[in-house]
Amino acid sequence: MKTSFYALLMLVLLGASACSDSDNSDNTSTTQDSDTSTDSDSDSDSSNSIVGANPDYFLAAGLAETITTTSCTLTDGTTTDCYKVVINGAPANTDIGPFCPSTITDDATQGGIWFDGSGEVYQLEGQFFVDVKTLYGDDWELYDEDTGEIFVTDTQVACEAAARPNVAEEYQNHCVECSISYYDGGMQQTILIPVTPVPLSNPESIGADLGVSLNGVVIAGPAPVSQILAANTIAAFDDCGGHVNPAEGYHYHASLGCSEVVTSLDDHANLMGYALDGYGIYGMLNANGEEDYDLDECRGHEDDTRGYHCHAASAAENMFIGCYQGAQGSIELN
Amino acid sequence: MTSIRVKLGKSLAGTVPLFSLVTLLAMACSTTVLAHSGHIHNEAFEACETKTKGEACSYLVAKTQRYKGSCQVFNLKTLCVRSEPIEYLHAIPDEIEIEVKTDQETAAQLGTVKANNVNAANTPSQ
Repeated sequence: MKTSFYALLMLVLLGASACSDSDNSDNTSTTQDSDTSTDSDSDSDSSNSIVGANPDYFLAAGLAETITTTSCTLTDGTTTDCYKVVINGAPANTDIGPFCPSTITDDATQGGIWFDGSGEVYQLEGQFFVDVKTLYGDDWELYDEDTGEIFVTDTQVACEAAARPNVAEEYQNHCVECSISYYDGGMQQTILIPVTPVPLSNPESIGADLGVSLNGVVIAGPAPVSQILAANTIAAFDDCGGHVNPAEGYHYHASLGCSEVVTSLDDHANLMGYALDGYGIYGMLNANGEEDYDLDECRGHEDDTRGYHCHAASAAENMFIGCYQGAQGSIELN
Repeated sequence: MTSIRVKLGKSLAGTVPLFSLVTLLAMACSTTVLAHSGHIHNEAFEACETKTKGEACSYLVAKTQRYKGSCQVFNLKTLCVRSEPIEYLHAIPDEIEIEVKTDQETAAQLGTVKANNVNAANTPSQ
């Protein structure tokens, strides 16, 4: 058991050294968590192991500047060092979109996805807009019955009138999408993440945004689907679970693997980003398609290699994690 | 449940039919209902309607999947955050409310529970 652990550790360290001096600009996957900082001489005390974020894991193409360390004050008043992560506002390794299909005959490749937290992920092919009455009610009219054309917010004016809580009346019954080109290809944001997470005695609630992905995208809380549906709109997501709004540009509402650029060597789920408290967020399932059974209320747990970390929920649940177990840094638009 | 008392002048009360009053009240008080007459799946919210943050919660999806977790707050709204693997049930159709558990519990005791893919919530029991 111990032999295999040390073998794994060696692999981890080799993997880390192999990629530590690269800038990840080639957008290829790197390997496993390094920087475990586990005390080899105090392995019986692994229950309190704290593993901080590793800035080398971020894809350089998603960053506006090199990650640096700066002094910061966390939500609990702790003054500490934080990583300063400035993102471009567009994913380093994938295109943004597509979101809404154009006509009811379009196939799934011409649209993205939709989820309302009900346990379903819907492919936004044209037929979805024909069937939507069955799903949400007879008053849903999202396409022209004569032409088959889907009503899409295809201008910046339309996008900004529809992608907000009080949807303008003329844009109700629309598939809502906003092009990132309206916002110069991405909105820069600065995220401060504690270098060493500071555990809280009681978990704290999540607000609008909760972290940053390794490919440079803001990780948001649940999409406000009740408000969206109340206006007979579908705020389409792309196949990576992201969409664009005027307030913060492109952001993720679900984990669909696009940002899992660090592959775990031990069959653990892959790292996809970091929460504002500095703890890692991993995919929901491990390499064998299994989900852990011992997650806490934040969807987190601890192991010797990764310390405390969380696992994203499924896209169908419209969320990533449940709460913060650590004091948080911050996120703001530049 | 909130009750609303409406006082009307004699002339108005005499001329406005009760049906119209009800319609007017509905329009004034519930734009959401008017804008959206269909069913919104709110199970994750409803599971925490009478609970506070941290309390255990569970809800059924498509009558075949049980989600268990605790109530957590997001932007002042409380919803059920799943913390256990999805429990797949064999739902007996409609009126008969008997659910038979699969062998997921046995798997859970071994450490992990199989799920099919990232969108595991979509997949029926195998």
